[in-house]
Amino acid sequence: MNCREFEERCIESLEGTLDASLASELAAHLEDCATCRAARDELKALTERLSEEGEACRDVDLVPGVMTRIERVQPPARRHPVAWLLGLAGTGLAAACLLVAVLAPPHNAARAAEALARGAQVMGQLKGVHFLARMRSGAREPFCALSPDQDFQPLEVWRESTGLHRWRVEKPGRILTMDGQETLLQLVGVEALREAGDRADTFDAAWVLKLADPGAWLDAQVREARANHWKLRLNREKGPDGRTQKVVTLDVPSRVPADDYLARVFLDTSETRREFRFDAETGRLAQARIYLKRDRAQVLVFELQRIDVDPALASECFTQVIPPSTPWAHGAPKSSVSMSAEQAARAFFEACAREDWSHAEVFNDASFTASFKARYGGLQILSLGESFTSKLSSAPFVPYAIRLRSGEIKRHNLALRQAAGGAWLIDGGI
Amino acid sequence: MNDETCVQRCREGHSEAFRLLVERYQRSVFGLLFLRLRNRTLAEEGAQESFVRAYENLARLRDPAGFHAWLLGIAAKVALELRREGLRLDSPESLPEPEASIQDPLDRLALQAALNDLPEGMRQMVLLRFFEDYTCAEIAAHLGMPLGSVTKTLSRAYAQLRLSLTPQTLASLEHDHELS
Repeated sequence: MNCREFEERCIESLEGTLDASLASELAAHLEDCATCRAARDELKALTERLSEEGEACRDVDLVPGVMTRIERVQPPARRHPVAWLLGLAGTGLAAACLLVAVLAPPHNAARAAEALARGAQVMGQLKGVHFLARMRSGAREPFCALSPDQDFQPLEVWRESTGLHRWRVEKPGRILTMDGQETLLQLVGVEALREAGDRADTFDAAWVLKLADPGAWLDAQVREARANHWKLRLNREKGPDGRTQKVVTLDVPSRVPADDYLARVFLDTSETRREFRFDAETGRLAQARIYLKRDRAQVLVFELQRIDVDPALASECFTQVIPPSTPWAHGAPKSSVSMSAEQAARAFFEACAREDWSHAEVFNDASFTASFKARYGGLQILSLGESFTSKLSSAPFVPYAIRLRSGEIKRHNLALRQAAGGAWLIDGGI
Repeated sequence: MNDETCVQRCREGHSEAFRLLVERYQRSVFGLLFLRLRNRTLAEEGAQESFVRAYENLARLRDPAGFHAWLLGIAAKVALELRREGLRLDSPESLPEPEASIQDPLDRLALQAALNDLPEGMRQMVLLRFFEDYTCAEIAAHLGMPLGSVTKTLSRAYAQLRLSLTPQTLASLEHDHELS
């Protein structure tokens, strides 16, 4: 091998892609040629420095941030054409919405209300509904609770609108059924509770069930929009099946003041933008999306993806078999009756810190699971704040910060409620 | 799923397909921003912005197979905007100093400047090779070109980098550094 051939092969040699015979020829040449040896060393040093530069970028993880942001913008092929013309495409959904509002003729809101009312009428004639949706929420959290920074959880609902008015609401960690006689809640792998009658309100499913009666739900939207002067807009777009859809958008203000804790916790109390897509020909609801407004951004938090109208609903759909290993919730002990909410929160966390589970369970209406104990056992209380309430409820929230044994620092608000006898029970936020 | 298919899926409304593109190119986009801005936080912000702009403008991309080169073009523009924004703020803190390195900072600055000066095609290849950790064969398959063309382009890129890193260039950079 001569110097010129070496130059041609040097990179392959550094990349380790040179075949064995050429590699030995190259090695032999390097033995004899100091110039090529120096060139090889220089190139090797350069590629090592480039590798070090690249190494500094290996741990970067842009995926969560980018995916959260693109959820807020419309899919790239479905953008409003005028927005493209005016070069506003890069400014995101907020600008597109503003543009549509500016361009909307004065009677646009009236036509939007008409489309919504027609949808309510068409959907009100159904005898039963099954729908698939997804929602940003914890797997076991109440059905109406939002967690806008979490991933989507699938949500499935069945509802019979005639006869017994039976229903079923389900997400991965929480199943709630009403078979016409009793309501049965299963927190998967944790506990089960049952109460006589239709207790959708007790188990936080009322809002979801409103969706499963789309006629009444849409009708309520029309009435509330008119009464409260919500902003309504109408657009026409092609759906995925090529059929024309009427897209009605509503800007719904929060039901509580902006600084109220519940302003961003539940779907029906938060400031949202709701988008309903109706088949232009039949008037049927095809899809619904709800965006949570926070700061200046809009986060997609709920999406009604598929609706089956008048499906065949078997009785088994409205019942569930609770695994024998799942404990049934029991009544609350009374020892915390005299405490304030802050004292109850402190007593609960201190019991967890001591791993005194019999004491900690005073504040819960069921036993804690092994995974709960593993996570919260030995925790350290960093701070406990003063309790506060929401405009919508007198049940207190106690702000807390704890360090878990894993080192993770958790900041949240412990929701408490008082059982019939006055005992404090944890109602969420852990 | 190749870039072309990912772009097509995104255009059909399947935003999850974009996740693959982010996973595939986040290091090179971040790397490019980092080379230009020399600050991790700004580079991360700029890289995220570059991906979001790319997603918003996917309908305008004429050649979906050329997504990566197009994306790097967007990233270069974002870097320029962030840099201008920093200058406009007219504050010494606006454009952060280069971050500390275990290497001689001047040596590293010189390499970063040299990488910035590479022609686009060469820079894309260097980014794929050293920031995305592709092998030459993977780059060839990815860009749809013969392996020999990849090694020749890289070879020319190395030659240019070496030229940019001569003692004279480093002396000039050192002078600038002392003045700043």
